[in-house]
Amino acid sequence: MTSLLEIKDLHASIDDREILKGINLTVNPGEVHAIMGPNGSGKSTLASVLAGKADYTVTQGSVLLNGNDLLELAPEDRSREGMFLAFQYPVEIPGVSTANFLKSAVNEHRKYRGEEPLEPAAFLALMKQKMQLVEMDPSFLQRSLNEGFSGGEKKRNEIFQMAMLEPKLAVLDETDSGLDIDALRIVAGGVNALRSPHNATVVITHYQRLLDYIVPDVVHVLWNGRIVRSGDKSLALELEKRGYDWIKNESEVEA
Amino acid sequence: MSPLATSIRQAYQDSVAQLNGASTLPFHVSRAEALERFLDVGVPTVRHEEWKYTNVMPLAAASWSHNASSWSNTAPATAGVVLDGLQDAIRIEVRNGVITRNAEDTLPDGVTVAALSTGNIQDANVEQFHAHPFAAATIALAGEGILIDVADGAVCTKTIHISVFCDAEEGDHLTTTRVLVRAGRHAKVDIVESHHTLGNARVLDLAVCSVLVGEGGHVTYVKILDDTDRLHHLGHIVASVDRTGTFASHSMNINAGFVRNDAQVRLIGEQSQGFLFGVSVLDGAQYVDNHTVVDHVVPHCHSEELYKGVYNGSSTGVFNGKIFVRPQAQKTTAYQSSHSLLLSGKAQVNAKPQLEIWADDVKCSHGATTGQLNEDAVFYLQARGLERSKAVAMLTNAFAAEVIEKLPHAGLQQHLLLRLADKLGASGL
Ligand SMILES: Nc1ncnc2c1ncn2[C@@H]1O[C@H](COP(=O)(O)OP(=O)(O)O)[C@@H](O)[C@H]1O
Ligand SMILES: [Mg+2]
Repeated sequence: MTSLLEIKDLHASIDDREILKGINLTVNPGEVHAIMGPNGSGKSTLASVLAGKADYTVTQGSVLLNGNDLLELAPEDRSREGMFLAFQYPVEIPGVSTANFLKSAVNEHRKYRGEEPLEPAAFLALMKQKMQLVEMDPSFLQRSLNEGFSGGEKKRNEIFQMAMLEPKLAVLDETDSGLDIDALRIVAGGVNALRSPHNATVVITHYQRLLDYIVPDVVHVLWNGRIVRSGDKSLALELEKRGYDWIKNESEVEA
Repeated sequence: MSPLATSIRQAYQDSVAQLNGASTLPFHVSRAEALERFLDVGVPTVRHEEWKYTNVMPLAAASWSHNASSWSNTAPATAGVVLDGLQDAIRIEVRNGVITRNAEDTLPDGVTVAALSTGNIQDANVEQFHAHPFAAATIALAGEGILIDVADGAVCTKTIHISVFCDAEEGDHLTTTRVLVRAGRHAKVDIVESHHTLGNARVLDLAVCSVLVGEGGHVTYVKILDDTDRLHHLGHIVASVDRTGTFASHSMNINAGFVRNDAQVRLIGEQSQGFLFGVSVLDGAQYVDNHTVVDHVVPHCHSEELYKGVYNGSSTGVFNGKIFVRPQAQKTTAYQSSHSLLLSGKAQVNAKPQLEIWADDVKCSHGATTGQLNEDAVFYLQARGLERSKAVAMLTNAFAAEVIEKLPHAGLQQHLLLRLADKLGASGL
């Protein structure tokens, strides 16, 4: 079986400062991985590098998505190949309605697969159906993308977009931050509903709270640009109890 | 005297020689006055305060022919340009300053369209035109002029679309168009003026438009420039608005080589309102200068200005916005904003708001921003599967759409949004 995502010895820098210092990670279809770690350890950088943000330079290593070299692809082609990043900070885009934006995005994906664009009526029906998954009101469709959305609404909108695009690999960057417990349950419910034996999810978080709802198969701890520890979901509970200093101290001793 | 000024004087003399005694008509007397005023100043140099950024010297260095009948070989007698969204409009065509189509039979009651040369030329804005060298030259050289009269209480339910054709096969060709709109008390009319080149000449397209809005009247005036780089447009529109009247100008600069658009609104009756909107989309070496004046003469008036520009290539933009609030104009509200989006490191913009406020009980504000595309937004769209050029076009359209959506015609909005997308798509960002 090919793994869905295979990261080997990934190094990445920004402005000549190395942030990722040799990441190794393999994710198989059907799995949920959690990546935890204190602020500033490189979690969002990893997510951005996977999505293809130009600010970061990959200096070493490889990333395969479904056996294809991901790093060769432009961001839009990564998306069309099934990579999805739910942003930690979704961008507000005035003047572009959520509906129009998604219509373009979905139709670009369809074109890439050699499919016809969706008819407007079918598209609207699909959007309404997927919005229910995260209990979003259809009135959001006509609003400018993320503009004036509350923190929770932005995060729900990310999961709604994920539902529309049906990615193979979803990377959720701090999708839980700023959510109250009800919103957390809704977002997690949406993510769980989209799980299948053919796709995989990487959940980035620094609280174990989310992992009560999206139960991971593997938990990794990212610290100072490296994955310093991996384990099952009990690792998340241990981190919750003992804090990150425990890991920091140990990895400094090792290093 | 510059070759352009010589061309203008010569063209005036040639046309007067053909008048056969009609030169005593008020229209032609006004032309003679305007020529004097033009010759007093001549073609302005960049030392002239109002022409500091707009260097017309390359235009002034050429000799321009102003032959009304220099129609190009290829152009049909009636060009018949119908813009999408304006299929139902009342169509008027002017070619090289001469009216070539005037659909009087389709006009609603109370609305007349006639040659200004034989009509009532009373124009309260004439001083404003005399103060502007190119506006004065336009009046001096106006072939016939168009007079649109909307009687008291009349509502022109259809849009009036004036197509201005600048037509010459080759060389350097000068066209002049003069429009006067007189809207009576509680009269209402929407006018669209579009400019087009025919033939292959380089065109200097001078245009003035005077709008007189009566008490409670409502006039919108849309100018569309969507042609080629051969089009060099210098236009001046002045509106005077009486009590409780409303005037809105929409300047849509989609594609033209060189544009200087002056727009002035004079709020001369209490509780009148003036709106000045503009969109410019430039690439290559295109140039635009939007020069606006809002003059609050009396109390309790309201004005709003919104200009947006998108600059690609090595294009250049200028926004100069003056607001005068006269001492007696208490309770004025006046808002101005101009926003520029630079899509290229070689494009540049100068924005200069000038507020002169002599009354103390007023609300005035202005804001000018110049920025690049939000790269985080581009990446966000790319990360959802849109290629970069589409992402840029989507963001740029959204930026400009805010102004286009102010247009009173849904069909025309659609048309212009598509034209915008075409231009941005074609620029291959
Ligand atoms: N655009 C950037 N420019 C400079 N430094 C950055 C940038 N993005 C991230 N960093 C730095 O990289 C490190 C990792 O940041 P990040 O990946 O956001 O961490 P995390 O998501 O784990 O909190 C931090 O030290 C941060 O300051
Ligand atoms: Mg982060």
